[in-house]
Amino acid sequence: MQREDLISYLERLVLVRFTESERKRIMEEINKILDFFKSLDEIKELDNYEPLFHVHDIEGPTREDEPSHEVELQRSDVMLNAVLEKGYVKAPRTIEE
Amino acid sequence: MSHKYISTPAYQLVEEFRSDPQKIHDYVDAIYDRIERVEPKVRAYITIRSRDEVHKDVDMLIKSGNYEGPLFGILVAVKDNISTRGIRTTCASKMLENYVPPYDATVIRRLKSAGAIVLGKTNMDEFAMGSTTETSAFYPTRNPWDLSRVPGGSSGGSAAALVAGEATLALGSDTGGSIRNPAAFTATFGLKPTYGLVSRYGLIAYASSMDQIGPLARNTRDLALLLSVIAGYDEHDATSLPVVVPNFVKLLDEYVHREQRLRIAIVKELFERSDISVQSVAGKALDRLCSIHECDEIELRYTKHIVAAYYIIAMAEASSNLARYDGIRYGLKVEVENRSWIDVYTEVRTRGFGYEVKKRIALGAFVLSAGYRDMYYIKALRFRRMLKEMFNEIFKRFDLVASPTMPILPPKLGELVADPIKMYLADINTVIANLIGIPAISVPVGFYNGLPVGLQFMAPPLAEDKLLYVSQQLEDMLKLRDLIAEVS
Repeated sequence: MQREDLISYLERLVLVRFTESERKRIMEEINKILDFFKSLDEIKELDNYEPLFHVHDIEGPTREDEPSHEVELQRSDVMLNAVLEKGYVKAPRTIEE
Repeated sequence: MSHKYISTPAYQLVEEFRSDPQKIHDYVDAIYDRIERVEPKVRAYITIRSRDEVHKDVDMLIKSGNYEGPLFGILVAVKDNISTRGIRTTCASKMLENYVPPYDATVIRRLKSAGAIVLGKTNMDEFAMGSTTETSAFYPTRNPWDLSRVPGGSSGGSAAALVAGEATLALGSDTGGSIRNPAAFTATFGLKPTYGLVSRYGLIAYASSMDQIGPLARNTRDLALLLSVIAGYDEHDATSLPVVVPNFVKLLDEYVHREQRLRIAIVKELFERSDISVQSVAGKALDRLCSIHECDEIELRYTKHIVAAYYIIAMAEASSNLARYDGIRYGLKVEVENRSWIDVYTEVRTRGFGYEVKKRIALGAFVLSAGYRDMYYIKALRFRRMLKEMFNEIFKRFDLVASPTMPILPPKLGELVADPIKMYLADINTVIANLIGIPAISVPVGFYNGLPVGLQFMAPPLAEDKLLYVSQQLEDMLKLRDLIAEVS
């Protein structure tokens, strides 16, 4: 993939846009960073190891599927961070693409 | 500099306050006076609570009659990615500039029940993505020892607040060194706990498999005290370890009393990769420590690759974690109407995130995307397993692994952020502990031309007691404790 196409592809993947100056900067940086990441290819024996997603070999604990009341969230506190209309969270008016 | 309340250790203050709780008010005033004097230069905080509000908290604390809290009356600076109910929590990002959490993180609840008071929220790299506190969307924090230099990061505000005398204890978070790096650059003590020892509930996520909240302090005993308060199993964090947490202060006393001899591995590569200045200061301190312990050099392969694996995993997890910021229920509000959802989200995220954040989530999405996942992400996870096994072997022969905390002295503002690879490589010594979930500490061991140098020790999971033990020994030998920078 061309670098320019790659940046546009990444913008779409994570829903951000880079400004013109940021675009220039990331084009310079991205190959260096990806080359740096590729250095892992130098280690031939890696295929002998299973991927390690989580550092401790313990099972995730489970509990009864009942609400916990130890942390009580106040509705008014939670709603404080949203724009409200008639008590509902107001979202922007959108159209289908 | 020494002022009674400004540089006094927390463990001493607590004793004093228990016999005369009204003194807490004098202490609060001393700290606020100091903040008024130095904060305009240091800029360690994003949000500082009002003096009156804190005095009211003190009144309530005294009235509660709970004088036995281990942090009775102590003012704590909290990194701004740890949720505090009713106190704005920004992550140093425009995305959360006006976000007020509706609940306290578990560590905050624990602080409060221990009698501590949150004084304010400290500056950091945006979403903890940086090593210098320069990617903060608001302003950089300055190193109190030299205002032209960075305090390290990403918990740079927490470390700077401590050494500038603007708080007595501080909380940071550490995903790849974000507690230890600023501790080293400011001559403070910082500890990244074993993954799962401290609850992450209420910590705004960066890379969930490596994030840990941890303590920063100006001496080892305070560090142990704060760790004892925040550590412990929490059912709200699925990765919390179901272990009984010891009283680390008591354990520390027992260790010092026993004078136990430890086996310490010195990582040759990590010393050799460090600047000469760092090597000389850290080496001298280590020599003294090795006169009472058994030290041996070890070789560590693939040092450069450690950093590559770390950044692949961190960016991948970040891209997933930061997908939640859509500006609807909370976060940056942007007036856009009659556009598609995709456009609305894109607008919010473009205006809300800074460059480093956008870059990391973009690269994170890339290494997870079809066709590249095995090439980058899975490979990094295979490396992570290999690294863990390498350290399992090392810890069969040694109790601790030593290296400089940072390979460089605190750089000038702008020096490190300009070159991403150089910035990432500066994390080489610290990211190991996060990749494999082990605890690590940074201890101040000296100055080079007036700039602090820190020594790092890593230990097997849940061996925080041994880290605190060597830290206390170095502190006793070098007398680098309770340091406050003049700030001029």
